[in-house]
Amino acid sequence: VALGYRLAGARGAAAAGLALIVPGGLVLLGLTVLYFKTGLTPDARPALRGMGAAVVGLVLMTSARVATGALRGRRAVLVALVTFLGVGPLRVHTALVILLATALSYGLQRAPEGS
Amino acid sequence: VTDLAWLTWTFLWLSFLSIGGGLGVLPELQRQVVHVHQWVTAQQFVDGYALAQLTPGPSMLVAVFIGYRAHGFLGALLAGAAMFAPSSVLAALAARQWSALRERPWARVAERVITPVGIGLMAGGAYTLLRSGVHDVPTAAIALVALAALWLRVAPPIVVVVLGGLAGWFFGV
Repeated sequence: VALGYRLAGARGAAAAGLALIVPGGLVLLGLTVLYFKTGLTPDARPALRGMGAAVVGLVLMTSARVATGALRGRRAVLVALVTFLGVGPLRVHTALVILLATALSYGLQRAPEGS
Repeated sequence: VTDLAWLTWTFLWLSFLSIGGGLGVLPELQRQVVHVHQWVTAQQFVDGYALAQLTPGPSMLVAVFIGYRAHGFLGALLAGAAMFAPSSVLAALAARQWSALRERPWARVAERVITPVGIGLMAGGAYTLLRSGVHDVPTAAIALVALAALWLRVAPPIVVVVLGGLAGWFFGV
């Protein structure tokens, strides 16, 4: 969307957004109708569970790669850890976690080094 | 109609929380659609996310899956539009302003402040899927092999997901 905007303004952004979302959305809608209408045959359920497990591997890999590339310093690691614990295991509302973690992150950024 | 309005509203405000990308909003999305509104079960949530990975486009197209389950085609349309319209407008606005602003000191601070929060949110999303998608030794093994294959760049993600499906079918997970 951002690239579309840079290339052709608001129309470019709209065209890029639609091109990104509509084809995949239609394919997924077809799969979704199949999923709920057929109730899935006994053969398909294990396949879907296997795909779900592979997707878990995918998101773990993506998160690890982004974290190792973008987290710089102990303060950033601490903020990421607090955010993770809040939205993950502790199940605190995401909006509240974003507010608190952003405040913590800002406070740590302003604190002198070594404090 | 009230529930349809709730569906639209839920995806609308979730869209504004997507600062860690789609993955970052997953814990709250799952909490809302599985536990609060009960539009899908925890297993259907993972199934929908897995199907969304198979299709071209962003993984948050799972909104279409959930919307359809809750209110048919109209639900799919409204949930999808509510999920993508605000974040798309924000992306366009950011593209318009950010290149001019990013060199200013406050913008650099903002970037440094928000980056670890986004990464923490993303890790929370991975944790949410892990809890729902891995429930025994075979599913854990598939997840680990997939992680290793992707980390070592043995195959592209779509191939790994399809192979995970074949392994699930073969081993009857």
